[in-house]
Amino acid sequence: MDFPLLSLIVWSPLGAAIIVSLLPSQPLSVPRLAAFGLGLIPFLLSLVMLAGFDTSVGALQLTETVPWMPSLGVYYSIGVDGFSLWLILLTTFLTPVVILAAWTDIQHRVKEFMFFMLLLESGMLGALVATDLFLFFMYWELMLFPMVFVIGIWGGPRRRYAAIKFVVYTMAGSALMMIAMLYLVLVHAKTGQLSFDIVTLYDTKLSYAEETLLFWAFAIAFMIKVPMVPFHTWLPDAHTEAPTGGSVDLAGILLKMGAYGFLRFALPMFPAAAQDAFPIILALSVVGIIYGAMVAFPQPDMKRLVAYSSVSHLGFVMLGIYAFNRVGLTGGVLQMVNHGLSTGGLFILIGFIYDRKHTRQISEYGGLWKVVPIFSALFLVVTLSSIGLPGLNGFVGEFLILLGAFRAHGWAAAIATIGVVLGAAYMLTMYKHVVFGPVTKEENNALTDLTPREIAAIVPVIVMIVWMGVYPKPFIDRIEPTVTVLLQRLERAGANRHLGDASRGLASRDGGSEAERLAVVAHDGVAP
Amino acid sequence: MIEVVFGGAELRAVTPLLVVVLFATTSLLYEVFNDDHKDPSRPVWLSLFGLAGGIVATVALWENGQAAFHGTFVLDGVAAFTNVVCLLAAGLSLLMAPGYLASIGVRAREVYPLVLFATSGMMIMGGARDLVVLFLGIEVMSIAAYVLAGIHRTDERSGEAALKYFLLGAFATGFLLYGMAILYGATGATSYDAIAAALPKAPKLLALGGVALLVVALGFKVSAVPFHFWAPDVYQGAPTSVTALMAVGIKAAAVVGFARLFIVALGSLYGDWAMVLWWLAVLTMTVGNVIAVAQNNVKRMLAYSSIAHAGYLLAAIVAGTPRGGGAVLFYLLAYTFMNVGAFAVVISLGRKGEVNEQFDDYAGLASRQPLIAAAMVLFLLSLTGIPPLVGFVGKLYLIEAILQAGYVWLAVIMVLNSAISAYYYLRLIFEMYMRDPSRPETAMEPAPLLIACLLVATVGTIFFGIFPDGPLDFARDAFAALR
Repeated sequence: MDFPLLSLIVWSPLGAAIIVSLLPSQPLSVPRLAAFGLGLIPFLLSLVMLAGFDTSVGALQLTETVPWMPSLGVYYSIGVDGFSLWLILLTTFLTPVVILAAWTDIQHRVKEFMFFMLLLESGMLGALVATDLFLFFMYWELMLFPMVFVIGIWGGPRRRYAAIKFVVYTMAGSALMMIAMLYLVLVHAKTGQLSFDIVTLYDTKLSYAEETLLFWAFAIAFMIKVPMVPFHTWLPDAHTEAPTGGSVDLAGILLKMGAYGFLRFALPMFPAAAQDAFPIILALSVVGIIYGAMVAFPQPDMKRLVAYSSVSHLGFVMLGIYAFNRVGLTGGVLQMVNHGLSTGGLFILIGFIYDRKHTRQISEYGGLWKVVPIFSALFLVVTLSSIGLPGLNGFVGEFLILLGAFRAHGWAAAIATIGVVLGAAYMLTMYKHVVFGPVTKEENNALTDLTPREIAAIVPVIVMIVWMGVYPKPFIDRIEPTVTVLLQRLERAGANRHLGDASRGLASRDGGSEAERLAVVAHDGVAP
Repeated sequence: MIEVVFGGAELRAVTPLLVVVLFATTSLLYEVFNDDHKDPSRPVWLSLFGLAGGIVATVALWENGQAAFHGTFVLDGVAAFTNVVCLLAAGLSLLMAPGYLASIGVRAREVYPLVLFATSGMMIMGGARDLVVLFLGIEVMSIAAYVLAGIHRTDERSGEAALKYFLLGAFATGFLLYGMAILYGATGATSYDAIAAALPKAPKLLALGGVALLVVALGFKVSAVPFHFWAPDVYQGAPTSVTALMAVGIKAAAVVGFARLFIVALGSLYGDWAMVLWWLAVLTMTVGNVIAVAQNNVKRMLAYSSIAHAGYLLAAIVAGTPRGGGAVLFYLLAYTFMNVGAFAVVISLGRKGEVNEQFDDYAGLASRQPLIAAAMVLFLLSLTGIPPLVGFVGKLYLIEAILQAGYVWLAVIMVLNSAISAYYYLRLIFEMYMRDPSRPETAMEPAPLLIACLLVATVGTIFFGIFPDGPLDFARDAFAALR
């Protein structure tokens, strides 16, 4: 085995968390500086990983496999591909940013906060690299609890309610997933091999009914995490109550785990059932897009507004994935990263202004441009990115998703486009009320502009937003090969089934035949 | 034709038992001749040595396939595993006892020999391959436990607990004996092997009647719903260190006795008792969890949680396979670490004159005693079944065995139950971490022995969560060798 780079990336935040917990908690700068400094290590390591990532390969890379529990067929096996690459980088990138942004936001039990943030990072990275179902499940649960503590200890007034709601939703989902996981493994064990390795489990012979049930067990667990309507109600509470750092990690990375779970597990393991589920998933995605946008509109609280906008944006991601063509899937994966950056940036900026005035009510602000121009300018960039303005990252993802979706299901894309318009409407309305116009509240004149530390925290995010908007090719290039691999797998599963089933699954959705669809898929690449 | 044979296999099988009983007697006599109470720690050490000696003897002498005393008692893999679990549970409960008993004003140092006597009863149950020996084990264990439950003589609750436990226990003994008698009437045998051989030709209705009574009696011992009513009051009223022993050791011995009897002797009636146990398991876990949600007293919550866990264990007995049996044994080990740990934390919060067992008493514990709070989080998360802690692996094995035996719905119900249980375990975690202390309190240093107990429980909870293979393989092989 080569140098265990991925393991190092996953475990270094855990090591950092342990080191931070052993340091003195006073003065407060000790845990803060230590967490920030140590938090940079995984980021630098993941840059090394990026440099060594082979763009031409769609399969898992940098894999490591070590037997862990032989009696159960559990291996410590990890790897990275186009789906997880950018999410790993996003995770390691956002953690130091969050620590920097939460510098003064967190004033009590600072050491514990840093401990939980680093632990959370380790859990999320583990879930992103795990290629063994057992390992994935372990990390899936491991990333839940640091977040619960972050919300429950440092959150707003209703933090306990929000935290317990978050746990109950997620645990209910993982309970189903655990049963499905064991069932799948046991069915596969009839071949004489007990294994939790996902690539091995791809070959499990399942009856169509079994496959459908298992798919939905996994899918519901992931839909809760995405979150898709109607499993989304934990999200606004969790977001609103969480401290800034928690919100950023929650929106930036944790929500992606749902969509990532579809890409890594639910779709490739149950390809036929996954494709047949398209009417429901697509409908829920589209409903999520519109519903999230419409509910976001009247929210008086900035964080709650952004939280509902996440429901809408994640609907786009699912729409892209369920287009089942190269453009849509690539767009969906890219949009996960985009949403992490733009929504993360929004939460960071809202956190900054909240630190100053201790309210997030839109009506309490107004005319900020005159008072805090740097904040307002940066806020504008991030807002526009969230809307999807061409030249910024959000546009690239949304465009690819809609393009892909139009080819597959015109009706869904058509409705989703309304969501784009609504998105612009509610975000700009919020921006207008907060930043433009006269200064309505006298005390707002006393607000101070961003400090150098705060600028240092948000500027890297903005740089990435612009970069991904102007030159997304390096990102797309690394996503596409893996998308191709998944598509081949899905097509094969469709073709393998007897024709009656196949036409129900794939061809009927756009009226064309299977062959036509394949041709479309083969030719609609956006990059070479 | 009773020939007394003693030596060879017989000696081998009973040596661990003899070691424990010997130390128990010595410890008791020591009390009689040294009642000057100068050095209260000596009987503790004596008893701990006895338990350690029992573990050493078990590990050195166990052997599959040999049977002592005309096949009535064995020290096979299953018995060895049970011995280790029960001795471990007893040892941990002894570690937490001295400081705690002193703080609640219990001077009676008969506690220590009594714990050893109860443990020897558990060891007899683990190795019983004959109805009479099983009965003997249950009685030795129970009588010691009745006394232990009431050892806090000046406390009304403790007295109530002892009386309740005794009355209902005696009632259950009646069922047990009656069941055994009927089974004997149907098969003409008390030895498991002879029963198994005679059952196919035995009058079915009579045999089933006996089995039904046995289910009631053993259901009482493992606190299965609807035979659980004693458990919450007894668990709450008994001194906490005794509660820990009851919740872990007694449960372990009873579950193993249950499993061995039903799988070895009554295997040919599997089709009949499996459905009964299915319902019993489902009822037990569901009722236990649902009622636990409503508790505001931590000991009571742990009592209902212990009922729920009995349900999980019964579910794996339903599977009736070696895998199920192995999973049960492993879970008992897991449960020992995490549950004893939780009780040790409960003890560590007690103060002179106040027990501090309400949820409110745990508010803000994380800022008062961060290490103890962190340990409690580990135990509670493990009880919930969160990876990578031992409770998760244990539950995973149980579910795997249940699924493999084809009981998909049972597995689903169990997992949903586990999600319910998350609510009340997390509620306690939330109290500790997410609320401010209800009143200012000076941190009190826990006794060194209690710290040792917490340490062992913590290490076990984490270590066997990450490296479960050793004990698990052993437990599976042990059960596979049963038949």
